Order: sequence, then C-alpha cells, then structure tokens
Amino acid sequence: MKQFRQGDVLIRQINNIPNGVKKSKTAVVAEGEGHHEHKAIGDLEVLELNDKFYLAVNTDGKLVHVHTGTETLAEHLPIELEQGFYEIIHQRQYNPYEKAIERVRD
Amino acid sequence: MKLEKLTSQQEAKMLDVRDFWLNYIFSCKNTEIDKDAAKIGIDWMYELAGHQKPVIIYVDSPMGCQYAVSYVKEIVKILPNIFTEDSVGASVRASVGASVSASVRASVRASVSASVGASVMDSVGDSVWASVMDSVGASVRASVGASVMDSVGDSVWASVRASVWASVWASVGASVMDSVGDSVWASVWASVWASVRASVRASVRASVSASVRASVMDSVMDSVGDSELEFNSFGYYGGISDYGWVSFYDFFTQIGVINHDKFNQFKNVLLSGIYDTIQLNGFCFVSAMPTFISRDNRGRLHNSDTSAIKFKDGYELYYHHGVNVPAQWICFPETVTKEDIVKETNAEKRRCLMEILGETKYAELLDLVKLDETVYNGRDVILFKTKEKDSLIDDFIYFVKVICPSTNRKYYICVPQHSDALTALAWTFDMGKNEYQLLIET
Repeated sequence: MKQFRQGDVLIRQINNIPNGVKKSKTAVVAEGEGHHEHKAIGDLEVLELNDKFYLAVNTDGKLVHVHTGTETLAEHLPIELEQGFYEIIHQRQYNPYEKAIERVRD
Repeated sequence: MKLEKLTSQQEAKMLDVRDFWLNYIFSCKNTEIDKDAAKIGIDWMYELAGHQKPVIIYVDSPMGCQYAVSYVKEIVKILPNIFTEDSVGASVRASVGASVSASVRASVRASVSASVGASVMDSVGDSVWASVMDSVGASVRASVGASVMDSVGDSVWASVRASVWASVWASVGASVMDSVGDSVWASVWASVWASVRASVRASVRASVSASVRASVMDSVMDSVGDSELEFNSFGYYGGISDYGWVSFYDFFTQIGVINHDKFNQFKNVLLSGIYDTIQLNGFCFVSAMPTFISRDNRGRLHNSDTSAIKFKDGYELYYHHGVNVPAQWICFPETVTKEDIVKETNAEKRRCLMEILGETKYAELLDLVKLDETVYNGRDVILFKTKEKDSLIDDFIYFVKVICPSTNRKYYICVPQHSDALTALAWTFDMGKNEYQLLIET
C-alpha cells in the first residue's frame, strides 16, 4: 500500500476505513504550533475516529501544507492522492523525562 | 471600457502603494492610534454588522487586548453588585451586563466579518473586475496585494497571532510581564470605566462613582492576578491582516478606476493605526502597532540579539527566522541545558535551537555519540545516543537525526532505545523498519 510523507504527517493507503468513523468537522488533519497546517482538499471526505483522521478519496484529492486559515502553500509540497482510503499518521517522539510518547509538532 | 494595460506611471504607482502599506507597519512610526478615526471606523463596522456601537478600549499590544478582555469581564461582574440603587443596578445591567456579561464570549467577529466581506470586499471586487482586465488585475495582485500580504500577513500577523494564542491558551496568567497588566489597567481604567460611567452618569452619583473606583481596581487586580486568562480570538477584519487585499484595491482607487465608499471607509479604519482587534458584543479591544520589528532577508520575524517585535507596553516576542522561541535562547543561549533541549516538544523549535547554538555545540551539549547511520531516499538518517546516562533519569537518551526533503533543515527527534537508525525513524511513525516504505516525501 502506498505511503507518502509531508513533513510530520504520513499518509498511508489502507484497504478499508474502520467502523465507527464520523465525518470530521475540519479538513485540517494536523496543526502545527506555529502558523502552518496540513489540510485535505479535493473530492474526498475527512473522517475521524479516536483522534485519528482518515481520508476517503472519491476521484482525486490532495494534502496541502498551508499557512493557517489560508490557501497559501507553506513549506512542504502538496501530495496528490488517488481514489482510495488513507489513514493519517502523525509523527511522534519520546520524552525520556516523562517516559511518554508525544506528538511531534512543527 | 476595461483597463487593459497599465501605463508606466501606473506601474510606478503600484509600487508606491505597495511600499506605503508595508511601511505603514514596518516603519514602526504609526504607533499612536488616531482614536477619533478608529472610533468612526469601528462604529461603522459594528453598525454594518447590525450591532450597537461598542465601547472601545485601546491598549498597546495584542496581549494587552487579552488582558483587557479579562479585566472588562471582571468589571462587569462586579459593577452590578457595587451599585446599590435599584435603578442604577438596572441601568448598569442594561447598558453593560446585558450586552457584555452574558455574552462576553459571544464574539461578533463572525457577523462583522460577514458584513465587511459582503459589503466591502465583494462589492469592491466587483467594481474592480468590471473595470479591469483579468491580466491587469493579476499583475497588480502579484506586485502589490500578494507581496504586502506575504510580508505583513505571514511574517507578523500570523506569527504574532499564533504566539499570543499559544501563550495565552497555555495559561499565561500572572506570568506575563507586570508592565502589560499595568498598561492594560491604565487603558481599561481610562476608557472602560469612563465609558461605563458616562453611560450611567444620569443615575450614578459622583460620590458613588468615586468610591467604587478603588474597589473595582483592587478586585479586578486580585481576581485576574490569581486566575488564568481565557483566550479571545482576534477579529477577522480591521487590522494588519487586511493590508494585502486593501493594498490591492487601494491601487485601483488611487489610479481612479474605483471610488468605493465602503472600501474607502474601511481603509480609513486601518489608517487610524489599528494593529488588531478583539470584537465582542458591546466592546471592541484595539491594539496599537508595534514599536519595533526586526526581520530576516526573507521578511520573516527574526533577531539574533533581542526580541523581533516589541509593543509599547513592553510585550515582546522572540523569533528565529519566523519561529517564535523563548527569550532565553536568543538572549542567553549559553544558559541552555540538555534538559531544556529534551523537554522542548516542538521539533521545529528544537531545530531552531540547534541553529542558534550551532550543530556542534548542540551535539556537545547533548553529549551525543553516533550509533548507526544509513541513507534513506537519498538523505542521511543518523541515530545518536548520549555518551553518559542522564543524571535526572539515570538512563541514556537517543535521538534520530533526519533531514527535511523540502527545506533541507536538520531535526533531532528523541526516540526510545534503538540500535538501528531506520528502525528509529520508522518508530516515529509507529511503524516497523520494513513497513516504512515511502513513495513520496515532501
């Protein structure tokens, strides 16, 4: 299955969307602490389950890295997505002092 | 007839208009708000949105706006209890409480935004496009609007807004400088109290007014000082974030293609010196422009010696090439410790720290030794381990160093114990080494 990476976000093609997903209220699948965000656009549905995003791309879609609240492209180039299902995986890191796994935000 | 081509004079004018708007903020000379003009403009925006004219509170920074909202909320809570006369209490509640207390969170920015959008942006756009060929519009947009938007919008507005959001949301509370609080207090005192008092002047005796002043001041000081601030969003329209599109239409105004009343009025709002606003029902909080801005050669907020943006009340922010970083990293980098690095969970900020300290110093500070090295998709992936056990956790700390394919920036990401660089990298996406097979990386 195809995998793409856009900065701290990895998009992996999957066979099926898990049961129980709900339509997301936002197309933003990852927000940085700065002023950039990763956003899914095109003929697709953004779905959510347990704080994890899934994409159901109907004909074609795109993951874009934009300045928050705008359509202006930021640092990472867009990734074209063909029809299919995808899961969004956020990059993580280890905090040895807290012995915790935390999400990487850029 | 549509404008098909710009004359050389118009092209020169285009650059003048661009520079005017850029200089309006970056010169840092427009730090005094023209309050008469601002009031006319803000009243007009509120009325456009079908709201009552607000009480306007002027402060010196966007953080000051946040404090001011908090102070006002406290004042509103306290006022009805202080005035004992029924008629006064009713009057206060009617004029302040009803409009603010219950709905102080109900920002009117959405309706103001919709009204400004519908009444100004859309119609001024129609006026221009009716008179100008697409190619001319595109050329002006590229030379003026986009350029101003890129320089102002991205480098200042979004950064500062994001920073203020982050810092307030993350519970600034009492931790932000006293000077800001003092300044906001002075502003609130001067404008809110004066306005509230004016609105109930007929009912409130001068003696009551005088005796309440000290109580309100102390109560608000105490209650805000002890609590965390709640973040209130800044308005969509009416601040420096509008410079991009306004500069675009300003050019067509100046060369006589359009003369749009509402646009002209909106432009005057910005030219009153407003940096940003928080638009609430009954109150509008207005921040003045920064007094100092420093940028790098790509126009991003940056200063390697001191803060990159400062406001009159002392509120200042530190940036490393557009990324907001702690003051310590810029002013006292020699005091940064290994723990500071590891505890910083934002990878982008940690990357900045590496650039500030230099890669060698950064690795030295972490006392790293190379464990494994590989090449993935043409870029080095290196696994490091601290030479000694960290004294706080009595264990080694591991980092995988990766290079971003889009920016070529280097990042050190902390990982659990690994012996293989690619396995460590795959772990950061919750995958095994063999699962991690990227088709495209940007």
